[in-house]
Amino acid sequence: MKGKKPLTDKEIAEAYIFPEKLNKAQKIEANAQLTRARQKSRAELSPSNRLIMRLMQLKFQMEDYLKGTAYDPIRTFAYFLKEYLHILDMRQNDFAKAIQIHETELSNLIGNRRLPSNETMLRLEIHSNNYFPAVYTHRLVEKEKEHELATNLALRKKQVHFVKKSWAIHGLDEKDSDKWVVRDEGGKHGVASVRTQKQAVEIARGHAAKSGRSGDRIHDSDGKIRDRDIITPSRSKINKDTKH
Amino acid sequence: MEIVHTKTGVTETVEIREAQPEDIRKLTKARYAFNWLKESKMSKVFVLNIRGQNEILGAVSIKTVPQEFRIEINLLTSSKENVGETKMYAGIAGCLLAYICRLSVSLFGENACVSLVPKTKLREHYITEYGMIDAGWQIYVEGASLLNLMTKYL
Repeated sequence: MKGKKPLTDKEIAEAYIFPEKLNKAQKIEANAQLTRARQKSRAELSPSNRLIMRLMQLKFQMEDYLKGTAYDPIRTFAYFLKEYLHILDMRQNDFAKAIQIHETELSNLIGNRRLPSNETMLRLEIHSNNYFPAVYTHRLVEKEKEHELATNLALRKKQVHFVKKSWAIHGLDEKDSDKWVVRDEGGKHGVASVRTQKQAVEIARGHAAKSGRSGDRIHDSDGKIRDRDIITPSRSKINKDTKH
Repeated sequence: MEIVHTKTGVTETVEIREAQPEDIRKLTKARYAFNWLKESKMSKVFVLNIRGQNEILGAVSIKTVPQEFRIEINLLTSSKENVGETKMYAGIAGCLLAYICRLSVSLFGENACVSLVPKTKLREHYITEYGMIDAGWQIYVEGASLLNLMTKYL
């Protein structure tokens, strides 16, 4: 720090925290002191602050869960709603009355048999003084739905029978990463290799019409079926979506 | 959470996240005061940056003591440019402290507590600045003092 004004204690405290080194006896004493002090401050914690902290805990847990990408089957809207009622020590029928929804509806929500309406989401937000925001409820429900769509293979299989015509552009090789490759069903034979998605789609349509097939789908390089408007040419390239 | 540009008074929203190995590599002793590589092997480290920017402006290391419903802060630093009377941003340490309080509430609810063993000569500053409670060797926040700290900085 040559040539610089030394920091004052206040400036050090504003920028840093670093521990005092304690010996073993001092550590034991420090822990005993902290335990005693905390017993006193806990006893002084008001019931309203106690409640606020529990509601904050619920809100933070929702925030953290929604921020992450992982799906947790336990952390559903129903779970957080149950926790909310538990924190408030409120019976279901009292809560149903408080937000003016039918007891059966509340029971279905808590049993995860029904999704909350927008009205219920907003009433919950108002009732909780924003500790249970409507946006969080919506995101919790969306997260469940997203997981259901991605994993319910039986439902997906069932829906295939209802779709009579779809797109068919098959797997894209790494070596063809700057091009769109139209392949036969099964992806073994390349029909054409073109520069744009539009060209690929047109060729695929023509090819499907000629071969008299109707099962036309768009896959990405991993073989997953993708949205019909967005085809990724390779993992390393930005989408060439010209329709949006 | 926001920090304030000391010259312009403009506020910037900040993000705090758990440090990844590439973050730890950036935390040099010259700019961030302590040996964070060594620290990261013993404690969990979190870093602060302005939303949308990569530059780390502060870091904190903690140890969780679940049986006592408590998180202990071991080290906290603001980056070199944010120290002293010429500092660029104010509020970095406050945001990091409040974030650890939030973490403690998320883990321990109404029992949440954040403590530290301060240097003796700095103890009064922490008590005045952050409303920490004196417990002899250690100082701490819980209950109302912890809520106040979060209200001020979160």
